[in-house]
Amino acid sequence: MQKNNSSKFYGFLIITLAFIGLPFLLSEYHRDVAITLLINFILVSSFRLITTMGGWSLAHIPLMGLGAYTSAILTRYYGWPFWITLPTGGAVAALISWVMSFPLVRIKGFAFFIASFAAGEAMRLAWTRIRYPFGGHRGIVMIPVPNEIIIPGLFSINFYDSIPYYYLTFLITGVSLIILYRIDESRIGYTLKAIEMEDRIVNSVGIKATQYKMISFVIGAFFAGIAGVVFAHRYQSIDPSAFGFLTTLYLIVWVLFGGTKTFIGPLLGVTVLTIVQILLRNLAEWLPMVYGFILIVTVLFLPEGLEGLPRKVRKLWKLYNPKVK
Amino acid sequence: MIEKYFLNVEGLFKSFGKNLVVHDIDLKLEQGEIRGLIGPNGAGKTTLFNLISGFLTPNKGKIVWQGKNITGSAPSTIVKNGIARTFQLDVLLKDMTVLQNVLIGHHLHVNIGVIAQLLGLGKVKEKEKEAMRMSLELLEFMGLLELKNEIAGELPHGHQRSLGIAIALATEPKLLMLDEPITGMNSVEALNTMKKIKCLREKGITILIVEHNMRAVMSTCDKLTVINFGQKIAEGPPENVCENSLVIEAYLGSPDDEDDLILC
Amino acid sequence: MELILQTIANGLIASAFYAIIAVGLSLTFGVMNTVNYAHGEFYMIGAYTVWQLYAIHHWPFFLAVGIATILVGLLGIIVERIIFRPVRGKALSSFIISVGMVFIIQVFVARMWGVGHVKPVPAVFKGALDIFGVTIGWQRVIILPSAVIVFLGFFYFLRNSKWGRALRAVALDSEAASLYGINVNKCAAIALGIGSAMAGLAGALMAPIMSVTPYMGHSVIWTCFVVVIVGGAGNIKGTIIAALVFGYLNTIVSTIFDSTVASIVSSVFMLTFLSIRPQGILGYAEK
Repeated sequence: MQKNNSSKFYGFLIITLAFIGLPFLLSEYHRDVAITLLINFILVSSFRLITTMGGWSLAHIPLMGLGAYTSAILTRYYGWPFWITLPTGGAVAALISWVMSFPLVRIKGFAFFIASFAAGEAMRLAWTRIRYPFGGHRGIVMIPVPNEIIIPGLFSINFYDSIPYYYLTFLITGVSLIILYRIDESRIGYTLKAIEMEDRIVNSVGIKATQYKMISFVIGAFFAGIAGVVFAHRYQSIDPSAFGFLTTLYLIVWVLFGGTKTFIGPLLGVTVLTIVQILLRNLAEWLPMVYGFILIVTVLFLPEGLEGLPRKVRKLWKLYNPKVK
Repeated sequence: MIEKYFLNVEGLFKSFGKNLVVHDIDLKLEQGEIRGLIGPNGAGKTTLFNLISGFLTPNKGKIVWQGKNITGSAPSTIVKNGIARTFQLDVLLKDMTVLQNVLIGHHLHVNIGVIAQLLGLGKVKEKEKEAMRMSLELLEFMGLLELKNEIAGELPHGHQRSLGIAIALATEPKLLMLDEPITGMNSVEALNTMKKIKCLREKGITILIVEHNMRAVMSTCDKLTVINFGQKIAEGPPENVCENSLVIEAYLGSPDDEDDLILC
Repeated sequence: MELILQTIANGLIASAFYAIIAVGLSLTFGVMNTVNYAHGEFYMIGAYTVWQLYAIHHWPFFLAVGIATILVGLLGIIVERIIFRPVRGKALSSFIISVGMVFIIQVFVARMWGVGHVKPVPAVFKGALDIFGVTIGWQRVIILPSAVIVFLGFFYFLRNSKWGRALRAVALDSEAASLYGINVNKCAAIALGIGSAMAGLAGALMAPIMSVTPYMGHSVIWTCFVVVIVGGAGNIKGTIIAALVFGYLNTIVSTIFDSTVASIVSSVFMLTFLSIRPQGILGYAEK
């Protein structure tokens, strides 16, 4: 147990240091990819929190968009500083998801899927339809970057550059992941898993399952909103199509490919697929097809995702080397 | 009027479609007793459990618990009031460890609101520690301590049963309803479990058991209630009930063949 | 008054269109408990087949429609064998695996026939039907008798044929059905074959008035999912009723506002409906 914990700690340390050193090794293009990857870390981890209660929400990306729109509107039209709109974006996404959760947590299985999609899509369509303040199909452009941090006489940080923005994203991602990890390891996390596993037991020990489902949905949406804010201020323009169903599908592919049983699974999934995406940069039109094959192969042969791979390999190994123990 | 019974079920009706499963049942429990609820398969025993524990809502009738009407309350409310139950099949958190199962069972003990838990406010850590201590104690009591890190779904049936009881006990009930607690156990395990059930009574927990093993029921229960086709057909001390002709008929179809009654 | 009649007629045609596609979807869901997201792509393939055969090679329209229907039905049977059989009974896995299939089909079609340009399919029936001041293009009108014929045939098949009864038995309880000697694999293949053929037929018939693109399935599939869920997943009659409800809802709101508002209203209506009645209009059980 002790050993396991310390190896976990060293692993965590190495990965953290690698991400801190990363931008200096990368070109400008790859730095942007790295920023997107960090944003996607928040997305997949918060999505996983929702999946632990058994619901695969298709409203996650639209809720991310809601965070992005909130921050974009408040900074662009009302002059709020980024540092305030960051939590506000998360909070608005959480609030709307709370409203959505009233019907959603009462619906189970496949219907939850469709209903969550409908909820997200209704919101997204509203952005395409309403010119002010959402900008209709064209969305919002010229979103300001986060305000410069100036400490007189010492230094100033300008977030137009990719390296400072990388570190900003790194910080936000780090904090988000730590909070999400703590939730996962806490009683709340276990209760959510228990709800998915056997709701009769959960009911019989006095747990209000709907309440917990709502909480996981709302917390997940909060972090999706945060991811949206960070996204909006890097690319400085957003439009409804960015938060459409295709993006949702990518999110599902990442999470499914990595596996949802462990916290690290989805992070692994999105990292590997981002690398695949970089490698296939010249074949961008074929990318969805590659993703399609990955999905089919994953569901058929790796139902637990990448995180289940070591166990599978060990099993095969044992099968062919029965003597080795 | 002062309620004289611990649990007072009056005139309960429940039907599924046209099927009347529970038909005008009264059940009065006194504090500290061990009551056996017996009857042939499909007599409505489990439905009665589901009605009392709030998993089903009765069509008619009322359930009064310590003077408080709890008819139609949600399961979580009823557990909070002190009525816990186990399930007939091995309903467990099968992919979790034995210890985690019991820890989840301590939900009510730790529960200080989700927000407080999130922010780590209040006495979360202290309460979690307490829950851990109590869980280990419970596992020891049920004889599962060595198995605490095993995956619940991989345990043999007998142990799964015991775990089910441990989960229910974790809610610190005043009334424990056991649905076939020793089915699937070998005779030694069964004997042990029945001993533990008596031991629980010594600790002040009132117990309602559904069980098919007549020998175990006869030796443990203070009183038996027999139902058949959703109706109560007999009630009283085990010896009396056993001689009741209605009961014999219900179990055997006709009073001629008395093979099964050797169990008594 | 004329506007009202026109709306009633338009709504009926929209409902028939949704019903044909949604009933196919509901059938596969009911029999196999799998969710076929590629159903919309089957519809798209139906339209492409008609474009290829009728618009390019000038084959007779109804021959092209017939070939499209059979072709897509066969495709469904193949897909059942390769993709859906391992995940039968698992709604989530089947949804995801069919999403994978959608990616592959879309890229394939886009690479084969190009993106961006809508494939023009000339109208077969020129002119329009004029009654009581209502005007509907003949091309749209034919969906109505087609739907009626398809459903009558389909219900006859379900009630009176050996395989139809087997399908109903499997839909009720596949385990029990297999105990009674019903070949569940064959039933699944038949269900997906018929279901896909319906999607192919709808795509083929509507090709001349829809914009034929690789992504045309997407706009239809979600409405049909909503129809299936609200109808009570796997419940054919419920699906048809729900198709009428959403066909009219869409038409009315589109007439007053526009199609975007109609989609929003449908979504909100569905959410409200499901929070009151999660099992759908007629529930899961009655099949």
